[in-house]
Amino acid sequence: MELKGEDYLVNYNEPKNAVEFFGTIRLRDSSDYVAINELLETAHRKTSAVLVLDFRSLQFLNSAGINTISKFVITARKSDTARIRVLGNSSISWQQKSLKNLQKLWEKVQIEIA
Amino acid sequence: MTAQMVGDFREELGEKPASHSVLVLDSGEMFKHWRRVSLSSDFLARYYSYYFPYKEKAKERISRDAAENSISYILNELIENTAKYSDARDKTVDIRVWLLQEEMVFKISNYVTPTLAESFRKLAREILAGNPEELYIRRLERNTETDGGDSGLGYLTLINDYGIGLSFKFATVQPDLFQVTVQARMKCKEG
Repeated sequence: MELKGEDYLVNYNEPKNAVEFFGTIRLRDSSDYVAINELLETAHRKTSAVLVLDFRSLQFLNSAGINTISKFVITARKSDTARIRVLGNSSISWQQKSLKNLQKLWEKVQIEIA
Repeated sequence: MTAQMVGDFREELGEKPASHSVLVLDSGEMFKHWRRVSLSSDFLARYYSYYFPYKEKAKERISRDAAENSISYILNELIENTAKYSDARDKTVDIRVWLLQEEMVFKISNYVTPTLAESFRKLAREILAGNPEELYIRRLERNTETDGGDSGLGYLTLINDYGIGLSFKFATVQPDLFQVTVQARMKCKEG
């Protein structure tokens, strides 16, 4: 399952239990992020152990997108089924600066920025 | 023209800037083709990144890549807001950038009606009043329950994650017209 925009690609890699993000995602508001949120929730439902969110190839994500990811993490925390592992790239500013906040929303979120 | 400030809004730079640029755009055009917002932010970010050293030489200042990334994020958030929230007839968005010795200063202005100006002013006060980190988490939790809007969360990421000094100016242009200016100050040093 994948979502494709002019500047981005979000791919649910089911065998790997991973959602992979590519490009730049700067959609207008939360209503434009509904499809991405649905993809995340589907992936989470299908995963029993650990769902990987792989941001390493995502150059930019605006605050509306960060909010979408944050809300998804809160929803996952409430269901407390599959855990979440976040992969980031240390040379991309927004990842280095903002991904750590996800752990403040749910301490079980595992964050690896390399 | 009367004006009200929220936060440490500085009219004077206090020094001669090494560089200054102005970009004037139309919020309606950006709203129509949303990628124009990103394009404008990326342009200014790349343009100013050349004032920053390569990673290998970046000891005192943030590196070129980091500067470009941060400037683009900051401008994109501020310009997105003007593209979304310009409800007056005048759709002019005025983007100004100054490069100083120790920091970069951004001023982004747009026009709004008194009603929007009032709710914006309330939001600005709320954001600058408390602990921004707690406020950010609280707002996210609340949004999950009420599915509310994202208002203010972008500003809070700038303060919390980018160490940006934010301030706001609300100028009465006419009784039914306000010009809102958001000032953002970014340190040129890492940390």
